[in-house]
Amino acid sequence: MNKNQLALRVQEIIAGVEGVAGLYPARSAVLAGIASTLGANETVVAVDTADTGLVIRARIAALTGAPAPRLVRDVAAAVRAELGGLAGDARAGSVGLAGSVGSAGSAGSAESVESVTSVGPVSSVEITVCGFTDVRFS
Amino acid sequence: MTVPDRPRLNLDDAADSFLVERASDGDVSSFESLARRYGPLMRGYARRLTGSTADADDAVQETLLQAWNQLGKLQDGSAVKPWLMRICGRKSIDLIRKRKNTVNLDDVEPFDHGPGPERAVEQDTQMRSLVEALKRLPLEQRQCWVLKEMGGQSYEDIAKTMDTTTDSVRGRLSRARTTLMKEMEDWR
Amino acid sequence: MNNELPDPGCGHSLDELEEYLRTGQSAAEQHYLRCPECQAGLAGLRSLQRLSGQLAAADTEQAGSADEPWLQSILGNLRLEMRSGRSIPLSSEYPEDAFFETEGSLLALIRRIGDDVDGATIGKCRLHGDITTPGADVMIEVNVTAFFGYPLPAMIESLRSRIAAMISTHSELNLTSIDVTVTDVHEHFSPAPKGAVNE
Repeated sequence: MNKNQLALRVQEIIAGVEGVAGLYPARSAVLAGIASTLGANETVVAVDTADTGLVIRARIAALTGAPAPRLVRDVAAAVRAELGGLAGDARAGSVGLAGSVGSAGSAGSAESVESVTSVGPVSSVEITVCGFTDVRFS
Repeated sequence: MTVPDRPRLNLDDAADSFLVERASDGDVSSFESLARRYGPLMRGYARRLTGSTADADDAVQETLLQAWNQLGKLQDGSAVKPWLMRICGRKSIDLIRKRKNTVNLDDVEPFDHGPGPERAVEQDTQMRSLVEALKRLPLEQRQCWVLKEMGGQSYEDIAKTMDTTTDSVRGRLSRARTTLMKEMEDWR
Repeated sequence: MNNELPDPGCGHSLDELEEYLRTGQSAAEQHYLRCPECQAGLAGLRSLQRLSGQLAAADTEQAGSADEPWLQSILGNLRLEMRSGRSIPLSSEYPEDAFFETEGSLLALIRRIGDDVDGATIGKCRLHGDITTPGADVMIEVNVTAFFGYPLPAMIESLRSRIAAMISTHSELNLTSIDVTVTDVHEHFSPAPKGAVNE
């Protein structure tokens, strides 16, 4: 699983949380400019790797009926729970993750570090509510 | 400058503390006046730190974005200049870290305008020697030195910016200073 | 002036001299004023400082003026960001996490409340206070255009209570007051443009 696939997976997880109406691009025009010069790919959810683990950033629209302070906590909890599960799978070698994990599944193939990202621990989740709406849109 | 809209002209003349107060209340034009006032200073500084114009522009942009979001935390509006420079120093160093191994930081590339690159610097032999001497310093010593001498940061600020201790900053600055002083003797 | 660095002969280091220059005081001040080596060292440090200042000034000059495209494009990018207003922090379970809601999202909700209250259209709307600091006091200022025939006190009370309820549901701000000002009374029902600029 590379970063893009991981970002898409996180997008699904977030969109599935009760009270989330949709997602906006996490890298605003401002950050996108910077990201593009760094050669990062554009995904709705931003996934970055820090020394301490994965940094997940997302901007969401909330349903008007969902209290924002609780919603953001729910979203982060869902991301942590699901990705924690993925990391467990990775160690078992069943998700096709390789690289630093050194699972049995990676033996024999010479993956480049660039294309393969191990799902490390989630070090931080940054969620911003950018709008409220009455209907889901994504 | 003969810009027709007077409010903007007035804002450009206003005191920092006034602009900070208005901007932290959400006034975009006051914030843009601050950006125009300190933008060139930050860009020159960020370029000296990162060695690249593109990085300098990214650092200035990130600095202004953070400043916009955190302006309310600035207690003393008249201290906005050193505050911006601290953020700018930090953003520049962060960019360098992200780009580690991807660019050659030995040369500060020129801005792509004006009659000649590094005009003012080229004209002054001593300044040129200083630029050369800075290039020869180990990266971390050079960064500490630029943060302090050009960014006006305190030892504590530099330590925070560079994720290290003040003792280590003191040591790096001391070595940088000794080297530069030795070289300077040769320029005379 | 000799070519030696000042630290050896008299036992005072360059670092001590630098500290003296920086702080303007030292127990050894009397010595520095008399010792030729220290004097030379201080002179050297001063000219290094002067040169650094000149280099910084030259860098700023080289960076170009604020009217040029580089700053215009940065400000253009930021304007998109600034339109959504400041970022209001929300508390998180883990200190590493960071949760926010944008000021713009709350202002939009306030405007929608205006839509739901009969006879009111919300004009200028501001959150006053350092909303970027968790738990800070906030005062809401709302200007309202009312339509003739609706009882104003009831309308204002309804706006106030709905805004207060919304803020307590959707934010962690410490709301201290809601200032509602009726700026205009219209004779006939002709809705003003919704979501007009937040001046």
